[in-house]
Amino acid sequence: MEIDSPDVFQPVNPVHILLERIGGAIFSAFFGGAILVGILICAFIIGMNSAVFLVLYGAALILAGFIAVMNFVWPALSYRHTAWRLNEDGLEIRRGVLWRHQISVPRARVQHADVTQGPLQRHYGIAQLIVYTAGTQNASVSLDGLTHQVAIELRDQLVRQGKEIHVV
Amino acid sequence: MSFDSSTPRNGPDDREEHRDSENLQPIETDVVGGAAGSTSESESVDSAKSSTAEVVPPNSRSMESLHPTSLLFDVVAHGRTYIIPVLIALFSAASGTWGGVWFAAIFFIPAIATSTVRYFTLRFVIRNSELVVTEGLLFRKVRIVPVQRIQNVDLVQNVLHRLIGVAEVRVETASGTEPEAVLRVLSLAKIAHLREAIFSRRSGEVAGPVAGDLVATATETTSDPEVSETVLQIPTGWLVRAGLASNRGFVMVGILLGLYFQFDQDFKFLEKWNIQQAADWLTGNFGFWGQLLIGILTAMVLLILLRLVGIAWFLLQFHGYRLVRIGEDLRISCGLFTKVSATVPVRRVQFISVHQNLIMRWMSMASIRIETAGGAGSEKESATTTVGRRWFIPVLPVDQVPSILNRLRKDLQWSTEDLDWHSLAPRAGYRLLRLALIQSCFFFLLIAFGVVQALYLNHPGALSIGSWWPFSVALGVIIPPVLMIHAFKQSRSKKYARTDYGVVYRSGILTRKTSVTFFEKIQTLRIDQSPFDRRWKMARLSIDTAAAGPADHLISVPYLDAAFAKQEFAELNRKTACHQPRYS
Repeated sequence: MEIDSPDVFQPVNPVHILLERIGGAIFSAFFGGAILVGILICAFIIGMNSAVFLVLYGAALILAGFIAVMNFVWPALSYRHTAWRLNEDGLEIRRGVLWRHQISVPRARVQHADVTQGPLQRHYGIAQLIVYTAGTQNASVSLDGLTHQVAIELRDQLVRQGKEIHVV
Repeated sequence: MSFDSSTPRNGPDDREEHRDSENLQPIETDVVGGAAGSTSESESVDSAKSSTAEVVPPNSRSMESLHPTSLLFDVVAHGRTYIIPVLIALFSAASGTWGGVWFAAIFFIPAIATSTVRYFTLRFVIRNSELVVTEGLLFRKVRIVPVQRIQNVDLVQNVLHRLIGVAEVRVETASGTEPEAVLRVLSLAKIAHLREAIFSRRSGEVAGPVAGDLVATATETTSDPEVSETVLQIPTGWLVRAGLASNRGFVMVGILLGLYFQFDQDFKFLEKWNIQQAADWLTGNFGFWGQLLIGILTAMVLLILLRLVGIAWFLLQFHGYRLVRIGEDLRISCGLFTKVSATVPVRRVQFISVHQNLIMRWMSMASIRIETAGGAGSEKESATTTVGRRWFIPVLPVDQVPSILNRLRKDLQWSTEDLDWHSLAPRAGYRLLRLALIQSCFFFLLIAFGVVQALYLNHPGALSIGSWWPFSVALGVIIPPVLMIHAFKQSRSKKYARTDYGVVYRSGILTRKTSVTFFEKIQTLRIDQSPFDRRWKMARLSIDTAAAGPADHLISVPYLDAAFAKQEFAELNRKTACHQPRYS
């Protein structure tokens, strides 16, 4: 494929897959609950045995099945297509399963960088790195699923390096 | 005078790096506007009496104040903002009821009160190479802008301003989209004094703490900071031609139509123009050819009127356009009634764009737009941004473009023919044509339906939904070829080139836009591939800068050969990393 030197590019933390799946499960629980309520209301209005109800019920089941499978498969796929590299030029990020993106932020262009963590992420030691530039279209570039330590190190390196270059 | 031109290539770079570090000393986090734009350049100390007292002694006698007529112009400005309450007040006053006046007063009294407070409390001074602006009665605000950070001191002067001899001043830095300070209004003498103080200090700053060998050139600059030289003057003839070429007229008519529909009730008299009667009169008195002739004549008259509106707009906006070099920077002044004077900080130019629409290409004219960091959100664009950036040079002959661009960047040798142009991927044309063909299928269906309807129109079982078949057939015949031609032209028109100073991108079929940005101005690089792109082995290469939008062009090249795009991505990455940004 188009990754020229996979040894240099590093994947994010695999725990990220688990977190994405948990997040997806929580989201689909809410979503599924809403659909369930909808079906129950329909059942009261049009009756359990009507053909319309059966069709609705079938469609909802298929949708739920699809969402469940996607919840499980997509995080792994997305993990496989996410990679980053920090070299003397700067930070380079690849991501995207169907629509592939490759973004590069030169070190000297980093204005500031954030590391953020949600509650689940904090429990598993995972973090998101957000790098800000002075640009307009891609003013911030984010990379989710890094090990917290790695994220901190990346942030410090990018910000420190940027500053050194500025002052020189 | 420009010391860049006389010194060897390495000289200015060195110096600029030094200057950067100088500027960065006082403030740690340097931000060049844009979305990241924190206003770190300006500290505002709100209602903190102790720190305020330290920074500036309150009620300082040495500080300057606004011109006495400021209050008047503030009221005029408020009137423009609250135009609807004003209109309501006028109508109600004319009809003898005072309700509308009270309604307008709700808006006006607080506004006038704040203006009064502003007039009596706003003071400014330049002290220790900082512009200090204090304001406020209960909550005192002190704003400090380091002079080196000031990009522009721009002026706007409408007719009333000119009669009294004052102008509105905007002081801008690279941060955010709002000017750092708006001084409405100052007398011309004070403005000259302010400008002189800012610009002499700004260029003089180099001399101070920087290494010894630079002092010689620096003093040379400071001794003569206000040497001015006219770079370009636009004669009225060029403006007329620009107006002829532009579609401004359509925009204006659009605005007028919008107004008409908004105030529909007020234009009842228009209903007397009965369109049906007119049509009957036409068909009654003229044959087919006569009607056609009248139609064509009306269209021509309308077209001429639209073009005249365009010409009028250009004359109003840019009459007496003069581009002057002052020290290192360029200054633009123009305008028939409202005069605008805008500064262009040459070293902060992020992006240069040369635009030519079809008619301008026939007349071999072009317009140049530029972008500097910050100061230019497309939302609240000020008059000075419009003139200084969006219409940096509204019109000039194509053969003068290289010399003007050379003024902006010494290393910018503008000869688009000599560039190492890369077209889109070889199969891009084929891909776009196929896409056009798929889109055309809808219109082929229209033809089919039209033909079927035409055949069975008089059939007893046919649906009677009117005889619309000529229209559907016409659409189906005209649009697919247009789509195809568009696809083909599009694949031919986009071109990309990398030079030794930056990147050049050309696009556009009717309006051709050629833009250039520089390695040290590139912020991020990006490659995107859709599933279709991957199937065709193509990619989109995008280059992001701090440019905020007035140039109306982005460097984002679609349908490039994937391998080439990736190779360029890596190469640009390396070049960008080793070119230092100059944020000063």
